[in-house]
Amino acid sequence: MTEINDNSTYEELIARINEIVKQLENPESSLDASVALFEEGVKLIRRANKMLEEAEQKVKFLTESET
Amino acid sequence: MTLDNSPFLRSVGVSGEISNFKYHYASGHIYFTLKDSTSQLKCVMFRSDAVNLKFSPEDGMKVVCTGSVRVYTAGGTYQLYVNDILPDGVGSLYLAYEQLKAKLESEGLFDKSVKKPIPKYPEKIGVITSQTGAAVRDIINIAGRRYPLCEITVYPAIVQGENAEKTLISGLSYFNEKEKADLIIIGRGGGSLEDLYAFNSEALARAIRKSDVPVISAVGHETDFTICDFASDLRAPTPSAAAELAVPDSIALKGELASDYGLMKRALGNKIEREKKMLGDLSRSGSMKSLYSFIADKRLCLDGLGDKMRSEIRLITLKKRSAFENSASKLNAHSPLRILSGGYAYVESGGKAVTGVKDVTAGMDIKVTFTDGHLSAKVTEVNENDGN
Repeated sequence: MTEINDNSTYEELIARINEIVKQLENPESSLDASVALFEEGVKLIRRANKMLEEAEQKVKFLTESET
Repeated sequence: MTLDNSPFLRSVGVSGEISNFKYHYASGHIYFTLKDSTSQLKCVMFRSDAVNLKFSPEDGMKVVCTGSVRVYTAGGTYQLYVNDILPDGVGSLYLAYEQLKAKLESEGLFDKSVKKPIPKYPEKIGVITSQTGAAVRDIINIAGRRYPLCEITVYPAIVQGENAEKTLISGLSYFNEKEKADLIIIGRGGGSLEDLYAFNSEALARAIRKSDVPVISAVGHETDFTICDFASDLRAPTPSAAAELAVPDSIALKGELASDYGLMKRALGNKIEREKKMLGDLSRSGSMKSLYSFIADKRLCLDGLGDKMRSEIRLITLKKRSAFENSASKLNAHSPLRILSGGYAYVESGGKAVTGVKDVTAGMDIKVTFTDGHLSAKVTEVNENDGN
């Protein structure tokens, strides 16, 4: 399972969201667990969307001396 | 004797400038004249050879043509039947390129199996190119527009000339060792074969394959491939295209997020529906019904048991009572007190019952009990019955 914390990358969020979708689609998982998963998934999707919308591109030009 | 028989004319190289270039569309053959300041030679290149040309010859181009000199008898002219045309000056470069390509290819340096996968969501991209060219601007603009989450570091490489190869290679080691990137883009805008010389270097090709970080080659030359293109994990035709291949498009990513949400919603909805249906089925189904009737049966049965128990207890009590009364009357019938009331008395001596004359002797004290009291007496005489 992908662990999510405050520093998680976009890739990690997507990995967790994919896990959640898979578990929700598994007929074996209980209704209670599914509701909790759904709530977690919605939060992560919001967070990922926010990351895409609010990111500001970082560009760094190395100088000769740094290389 | 014809010119065709001369071994000297079968394989010749002629250098000169192209003029009167004609491409015959219907046949695919090429006709031109090679000339220098003092002479000219008619040339023809047949379609079968012309299709293999790696560049498009033009009037004024300096070239080296190889082929054989033969006579075109219908026109009464001799001409060069060209097999291959190489741009002059870079002809040797070109040859070196072809040889190096063949060598590295045979070593397996270009094999699909050695190519590293390009990460889907790179966080840090190292760009090795000139800091001043259009290439770096294109990469930054396009990557930033598509996926602003990724950080770009530009390594200032020299992309042509003497030091180019060296700086390109040290750029690779920089993004492997000093500042580890998730992905490297190496390249420059387009140029002539001479300009691209550094990107056809064997050392660069080996450095690319040695890199732990996947490399996208972005040499701006759509038609020609450089050695760098072949050695890289992915080849992009231009620097802009490299940026597009390097990062995902956030518009598409948002679409994916929306569809993930849809999938989740549907999956949960399905689950709830299924659960509801199961409950409904259960309450309507025979099994639930039979559960209810089972409980009802049990309740009835319990009620009956209760009634039965109460009457049972009553019965037992009654029985016990009558049995007691019976025993009591039987007991009463045998009571010594009852016998004594008929004129009999109970005799004892020294705490023991006296059952006959043999139990006493003259002079003994005895106690005689009646129903209404007792008396003490002394035995004066003992007469045993005859025959005893």
